[in-house]
Amino acid sequence: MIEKRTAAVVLRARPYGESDKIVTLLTRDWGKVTGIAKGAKRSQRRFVNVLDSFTHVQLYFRPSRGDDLAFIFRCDLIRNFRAPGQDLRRYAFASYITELIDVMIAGREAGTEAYTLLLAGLTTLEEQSVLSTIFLPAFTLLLLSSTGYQPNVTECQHCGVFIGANKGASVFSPSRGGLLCPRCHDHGGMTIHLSDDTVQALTASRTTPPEDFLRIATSLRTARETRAVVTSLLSRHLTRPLKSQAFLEQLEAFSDSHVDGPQGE
Amino acid sequence: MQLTPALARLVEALGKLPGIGEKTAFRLALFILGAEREYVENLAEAIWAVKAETTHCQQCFGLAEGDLCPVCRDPKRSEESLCVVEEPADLLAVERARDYHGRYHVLQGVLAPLDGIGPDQLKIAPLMERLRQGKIREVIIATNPTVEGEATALYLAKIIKPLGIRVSRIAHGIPMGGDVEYIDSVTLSRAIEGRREM
Repeated sequence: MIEKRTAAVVLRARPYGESDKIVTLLTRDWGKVTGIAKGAKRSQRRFVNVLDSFTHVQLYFRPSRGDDLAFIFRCDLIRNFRAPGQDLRRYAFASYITELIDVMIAGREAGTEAYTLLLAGLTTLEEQSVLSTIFLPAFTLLLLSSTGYQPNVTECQHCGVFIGANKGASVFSPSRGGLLCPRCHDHGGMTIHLSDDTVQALTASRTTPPEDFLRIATSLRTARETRAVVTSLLSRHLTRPLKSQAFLEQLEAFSDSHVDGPQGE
Repeated sequence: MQLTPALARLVEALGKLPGIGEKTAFRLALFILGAEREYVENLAEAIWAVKAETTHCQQCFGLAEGDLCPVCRDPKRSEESLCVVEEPADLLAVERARDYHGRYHVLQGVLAPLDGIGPDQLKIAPLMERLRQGKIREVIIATNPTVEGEATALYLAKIIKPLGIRVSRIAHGIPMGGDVEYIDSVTLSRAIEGRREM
């Protein structure tokens, strides 16, 4: 099979043997690719400074057959996102969104949506001086939507009635994956009450470009409710908790006990 | 060719060493087979001893035989400076440079959320305990210039600075004997950013 070329973001790289690395990348054209980069631990030519997590690269590779590893010939740097190495909270956020992409995307099934979203997330972490309070829930919501788990916020998930006009009475059912009207709010198991602003934000996620949605200003309440919605949906689709979630929580405790904690959410 | 069972076992064991393929393992096995008995006994004993006697230093978590490593036992080493590294191999690399005369602390890794490694999985609590004893005036953070190494350095700086201890980071940039023309853009950008006045 001939050599392929595509833009990609490095999700993670781990050492393999004495001189190689196994690298997982989210590519623009080939979904998620895991391949072996021969000599990557030592090469000062083909792989220098391009296999760190969160790096945006041009990937030259030979796709795998079946479950085999792809063969990575070389990577050229497109953009080195520096914010994760300069701000602990951004490092934790970058780790979270990268791991989330890794566990939610399997093989070549991903279209360009997830790739575009990941780039938008890393670019926001790089360029936005103050992060939106909704950054992580917004990213998670957009990823859920792009992988087919978009919450339905226009119709009641029990009776099908249009729900947009029911101001102040919105109830979200994680088990039904969407809103319930006031008449049906007892038909969704455990539910989450949402403010109108939160419903508006969930609706806006469908039409707003990712790079804008990740930067929208919202109240703490909307951020909290959106987080509750996406957390409840994620818990239904993930088979294990994210490893980076523990680090995020440790960092939050750490920030609380230190005066100069990182800014943002 | 059919190897004798003992020779086959040795070839297999040697072949598991890093950088040793089957052919090299075979050559090494033949060398051992033809060597003096005393040499072979020394080699076997050295391999056994390194495994049986090497532990982690109870103070810095570098490699040691007994409770403390040679650096921690050495009264001539400065007690005011502490160099923080990721792994014991990094400690040995800094020692080879022969320009540092302080003490060390080995973290036994770096913060790596994607691998589930947070502050509690590293030797950060013992580090803070050492710093609170009050002798150390400067901490030099010598973690690798990877995103994980940088994040670990940031974390350490944040928790150490409130103790009133000077925290510095090793410089990153163009290697000695390097050629600017061939340096990658990330390294060059760091080198320019970290330039110093002459």
